[in-house]
Amino acid sequence: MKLAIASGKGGTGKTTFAVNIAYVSAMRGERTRYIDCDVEEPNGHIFLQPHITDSVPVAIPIPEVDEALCTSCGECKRICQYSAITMILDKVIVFPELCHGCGGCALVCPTNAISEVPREMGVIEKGIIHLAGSDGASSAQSASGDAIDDSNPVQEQTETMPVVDLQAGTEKVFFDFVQGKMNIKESLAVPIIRKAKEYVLDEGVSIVDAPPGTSCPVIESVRGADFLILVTEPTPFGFNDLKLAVETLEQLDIPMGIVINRYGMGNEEVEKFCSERGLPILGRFPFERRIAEVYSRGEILSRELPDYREMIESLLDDVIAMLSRQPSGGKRGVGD
Amino acid sequence: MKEFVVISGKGGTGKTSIAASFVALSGHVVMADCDVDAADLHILLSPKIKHKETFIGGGLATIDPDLCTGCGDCEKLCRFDAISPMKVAVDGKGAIDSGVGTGGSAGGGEGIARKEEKLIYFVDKFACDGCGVCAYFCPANAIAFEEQENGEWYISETRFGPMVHAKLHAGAENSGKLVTIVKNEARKVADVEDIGMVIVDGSPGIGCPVISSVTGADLVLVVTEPTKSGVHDLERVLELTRFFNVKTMVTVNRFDINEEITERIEEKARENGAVLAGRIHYDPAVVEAQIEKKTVVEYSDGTASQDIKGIWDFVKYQMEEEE
Repeated sequence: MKLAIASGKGGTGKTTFAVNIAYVSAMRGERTRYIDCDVEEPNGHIFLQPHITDSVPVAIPIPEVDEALCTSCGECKRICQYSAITMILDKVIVFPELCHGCGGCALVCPTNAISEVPREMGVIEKGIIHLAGSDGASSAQSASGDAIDDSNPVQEQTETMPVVDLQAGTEKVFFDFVQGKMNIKESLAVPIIRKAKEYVLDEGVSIVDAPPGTSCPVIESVRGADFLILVTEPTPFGFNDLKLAVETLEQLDIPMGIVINRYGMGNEEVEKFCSERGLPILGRFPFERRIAEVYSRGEILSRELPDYREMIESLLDDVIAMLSRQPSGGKRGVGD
Repeated sequence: MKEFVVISGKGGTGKTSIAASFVALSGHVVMADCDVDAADLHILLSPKIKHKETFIGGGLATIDPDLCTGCGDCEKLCRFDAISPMKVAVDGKGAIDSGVGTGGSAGGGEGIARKEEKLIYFVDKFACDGCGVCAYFCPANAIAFEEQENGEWYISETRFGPMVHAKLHAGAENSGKLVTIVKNEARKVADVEDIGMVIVDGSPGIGCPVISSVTGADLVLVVTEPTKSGVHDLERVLELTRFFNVKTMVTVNRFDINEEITERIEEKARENGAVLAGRIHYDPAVVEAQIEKKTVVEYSDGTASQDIKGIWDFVKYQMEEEE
């Protein structure tokens, strides 16, 4: 099952639901992978505390011009749709940060003066998630050092976890983690998202955490999912962005459901819209200060709050039930 | 003329509510909504559109199924996995038998005898990056490559003055380009109407629309929240503004949700050379104001409203210091 979580408006709780659904799925013993496609600001790792085992750079090929071979014909500049190539006084100038790596310039060059060299724009990080008991809630993070609860004893345990044994199958890996992370100053998220999506599992449950908004990075993240969950909040901003997200994402022809987070604040517009459009509401999660506090500390809500976990469990059951009713939507056995 | 940009890194921190309040407090500015793919500012400012233009974004390739010979060159050339093959039924003359889709739904065109099948290629418009390479190299000239209408932008009037805003079509590309247009048009309006400041409501994240929002700004305010995610996202966004060498201020919204993290954020901000602009209380009036389609400073005189007024005074002071 490939489940994508998106939101339109930022800060509605998209990552919270992605993390909690992944957590609950893994706790049920399902082979589960959480994939963070919010590559500009990936946050799932804060909650899931993965032990990062592998880091793969993401690069796109950009042109390099051999001036000895270049005849200044200008064909490369003409084919480039991204204004990444210009000519100044018969000299070809490349703007690497504008290049999308389509390869058109190298193909069109009549003198083979253009070769392609990789340019790194981000990284894919892979890791294993250790499901400590409920007392191991906030194990400190190994690499990025932004742990707030520095004194937590679970830190050591996480860092010395026998990763090799885990991978060799002594203990079956059933919950793991992939995140795309865009380098600062880069502007193109899509190549990194595309790479992260290659890690979607064929079997088992993949949870794709999409970026906010409604433009190309969201589409790329959601494409190919079996089911889409849109997280919103019942405020005018939440409602407006939900409409935009639905308008965009319904074109992808993926069955979708809505989660209303911070239910109780705001007004009824979101509810009305969902019933008018026949969009199933998968859950209404109340606005409560205790939830905001657990979240603010970077903890997994369904590990800390049993009633929250029950709501996530029933949300996941509803999605699985809806998928099994889909006539042709479920391409693969749901929840195998 | 000064350009003041409000961004957030993490979404949902209250950026738009705060930017709209600044507009209400300022009296005389041009507002630019650069969060073009999920614009919300219009909800609070109720703009009346005076001028509208279409936004021409990137190109899109489309393959003419009648001309396609099924050679597959385009699929090989496409670096964006946007082109795939499909089988279609053709009539005796080789023309596509309309109404017959891909394999699996065989027997669609009853009545017309299905003589044979033909392999053709098609473009997934959501995956197409608009590079045009397939169209350029198609040996059968079967691929059209045309500029797309990707949205609209507007110059409007609000109760606080002019506003430039935009709407990207569903799923369209090139939001960075549209942000640049909105900003440039806002500057033009400011020039023509002799207004001294443009306030920009940016988008979340650190990618292309944010870079376009920050480019050329005189002062940036980052609105964050006291959560671990907020800390993480702030670091990334401050690295970006430092790279662009823009004077940056930081405010923690809803700081009373977690004061310990608020302190950490403020420490991080100082370490990164940002100026602390003050804290904003959690206040239900922010959402109530949204429902009333008002800015929070118009709607209430409560804690959030008071805090935002204080920050606005400080922003003005910082802008003057920039002179």
